[in-house]
Amino acid sequence: MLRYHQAAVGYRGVPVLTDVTFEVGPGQILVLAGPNGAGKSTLIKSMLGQAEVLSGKATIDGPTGYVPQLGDLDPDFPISAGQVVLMGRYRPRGWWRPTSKADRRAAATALARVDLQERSRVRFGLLSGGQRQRVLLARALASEPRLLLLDEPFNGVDVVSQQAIVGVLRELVADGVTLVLSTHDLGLARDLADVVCLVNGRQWAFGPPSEVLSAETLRLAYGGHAIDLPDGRTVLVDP
Amino acid sequence: MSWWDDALHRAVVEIVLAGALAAIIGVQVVVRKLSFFTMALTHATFPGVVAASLIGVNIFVGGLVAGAVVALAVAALGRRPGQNSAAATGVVLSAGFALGAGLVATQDGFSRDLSSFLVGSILTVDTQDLIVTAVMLVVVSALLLVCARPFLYGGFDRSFSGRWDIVLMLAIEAVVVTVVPAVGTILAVSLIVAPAAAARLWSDRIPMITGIAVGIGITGGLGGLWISYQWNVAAGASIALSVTILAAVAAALRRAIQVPTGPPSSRQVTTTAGLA
Amino acid sequence: MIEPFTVPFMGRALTELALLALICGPVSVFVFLRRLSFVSDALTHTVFPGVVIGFLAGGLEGIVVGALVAGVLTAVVLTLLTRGGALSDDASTAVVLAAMFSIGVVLVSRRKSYTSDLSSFLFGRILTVTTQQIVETAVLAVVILAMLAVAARALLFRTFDPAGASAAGFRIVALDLWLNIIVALVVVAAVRAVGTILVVALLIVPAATARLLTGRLVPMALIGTGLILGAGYLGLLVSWTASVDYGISLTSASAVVLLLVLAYVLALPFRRRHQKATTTRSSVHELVG
Repeated sequence: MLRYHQAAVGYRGVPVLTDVTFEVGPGQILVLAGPNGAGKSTLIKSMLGQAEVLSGKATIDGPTGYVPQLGDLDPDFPISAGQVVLMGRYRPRGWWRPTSKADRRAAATALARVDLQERSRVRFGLLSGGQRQRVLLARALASEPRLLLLDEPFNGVDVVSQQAIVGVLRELVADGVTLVLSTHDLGLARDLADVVCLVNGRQWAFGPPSEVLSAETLRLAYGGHAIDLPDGRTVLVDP
Repeated sequence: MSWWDDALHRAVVEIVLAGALAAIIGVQVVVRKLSFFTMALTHATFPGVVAASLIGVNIFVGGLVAGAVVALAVAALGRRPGQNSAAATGVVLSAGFALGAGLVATQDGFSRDLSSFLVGSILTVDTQDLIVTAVMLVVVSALLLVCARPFLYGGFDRSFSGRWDIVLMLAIEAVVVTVVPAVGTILAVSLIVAPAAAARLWSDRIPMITGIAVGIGITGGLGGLWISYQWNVAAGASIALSVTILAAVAAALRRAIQVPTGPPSSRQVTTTAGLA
Repeated sequence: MIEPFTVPFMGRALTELALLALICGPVSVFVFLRRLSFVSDALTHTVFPGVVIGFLAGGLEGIVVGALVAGVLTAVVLTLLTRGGALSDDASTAVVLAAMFSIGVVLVSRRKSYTSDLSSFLFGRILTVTTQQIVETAVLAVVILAMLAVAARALLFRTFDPAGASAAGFRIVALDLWLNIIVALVVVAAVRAVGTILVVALLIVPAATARLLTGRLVPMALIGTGLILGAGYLGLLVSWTASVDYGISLTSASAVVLLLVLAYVLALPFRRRHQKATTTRSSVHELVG
């Protein structure tokens, strides 16, 4: 359960994204769409408590899982894929306790769900971009979230990995997990979303993809860089 | 007896010149986050200075050569995959300091030299030191003025840097080598970093930051010299302390002033949203 | 090769270094990964006023207490200053370092034994380590290793992925403070015996070298400990031989640091080979899946 009402989010008192109002229920996929720098990451960070909700109201029901952007992580970090997944079982309460057999089993199961069980001992940074993204998804799975946040999960990801990720996401939805994922790929947004939130400095539209991703709203949000094609699709041109 | 013959008068001139020189380069150090690198330079030029005095070369030249080696070593090591510049800088710092200290230890009267290296002996600067500092002040100011734009881009856009990074590192190194013999390593670091760090909070414009930093550096330096003269404590340390206190006051003052204009109220948020 | 260490003070020096090897191997891994080189360097300087005040107030007994207070205080101040990101980490670290060290120098500069006090702080007195100091170091070593063991996983999470750790409910500031205090304790445990130069090197060089040889965490810590043991033994031996057989005064601390750095330089070419081997192996797998 995730609900924002007339919210402004930002850092150090300065708003990055305003007028955010939406509601997502269990088993639904919310896609945050918008150009780079639109405030998608900030909105996700606000759900994690890492960005401030400056005004309005935000209700976030956890436990929350988080898949960070790949670019935020150091590929030279000396850690194996299996160790990364096991982090999903670390708990802030009882952090001094060693990981149990059950934790290691849950981590192994999560890694198997993204089809990387035989890569457990390989150093994280040596995996391909798509495989790294799957490891991070496995880490989130291992924490058994009810709300899963993914920041640009398909950036720099190969087709095989993308299909693997989408497959797992659909399973999660079937289990009643709420998903929020950000992307600037509008095709993906259309395919995956139950509801779309279109943002660029403020929220421009919220609703089912067929309504939100229309040429009209896109032109509003992207400020004239949206062009209609004869076949009914809309493409965006960078200025 | 000319005015210059008084040790205290020479010290006053030296601290004004060194304060200005350090503050000017300090702005670049703070903006580019090179404080640790500067610290490493102060320690790692040490063996160069010692070796030069052992074989009878000008110590300025010795420090310059050692510093150049250090700057290039940090640049090269920090770029290796798996290594980071913090670790590379740390390794170079340890190596330089240990080598310098080891060299000094093989000589007689070693602890004397070592402590003057650490905290300087500003009361014993001679006219030649003053001339070197003055010349460096002119040269470094000119360099920063001419290269202001590339340095700014370098700080802003990492991909643009490269050779300008090396130029900047060598400029920092030249300043360190100039001021360390007179004022010592610890004082050099605080003269370079503290005024600029405080000034940085007051402005976003490089010329403005530089002006404020120079003011803090010179005022703090003179204040510290006076304290040391009044209470007979080590000049280098009391200057470092007074510069730091002045910088801390400047920073705290900024924080205090900032509060009313700080985070926008929710009303302002609504206004922004309405305009967007 | 064992003979010099049968002399009691050499045996004690080696024991002290072995204890430090035990703690600095694992701690240096975190210093490396969290890029705390500068913080470590700062802590070695900021305990100085603590040492001086402790000595003035309580004589030799007061030194450890003074260093402990100053070290923990610095750890807190550095954590708080860098928390908001208002000042960049390194500038505030430099300012705190210089200010605290200057306080120490101002205090000590009024004493007659000024220069020898300073140099003993820099070099330590590894060859005059007493049994009591060894006991103190051992106690601190147990505390440090326990603190590290209980928080290792959380610290690792925070280091690898701060946003993820914070999302999972870990308090980043608390973890940062925890690690800074660990480093401060290492400095306190080591600084009187081995001096600032050697402490900095022990906290930075072992992990940097080990990282060139391996991409795994536990082996990194073990290699680090091994390197310190090796460099400690050889360094003491070399400085002993130099002064006994050749009459050259070679500071033990300098010798140990230079050997550690030598190991780092020798390990540099390995990195490329190790990296290449693993990359090739993984790229084969990439073709498969």
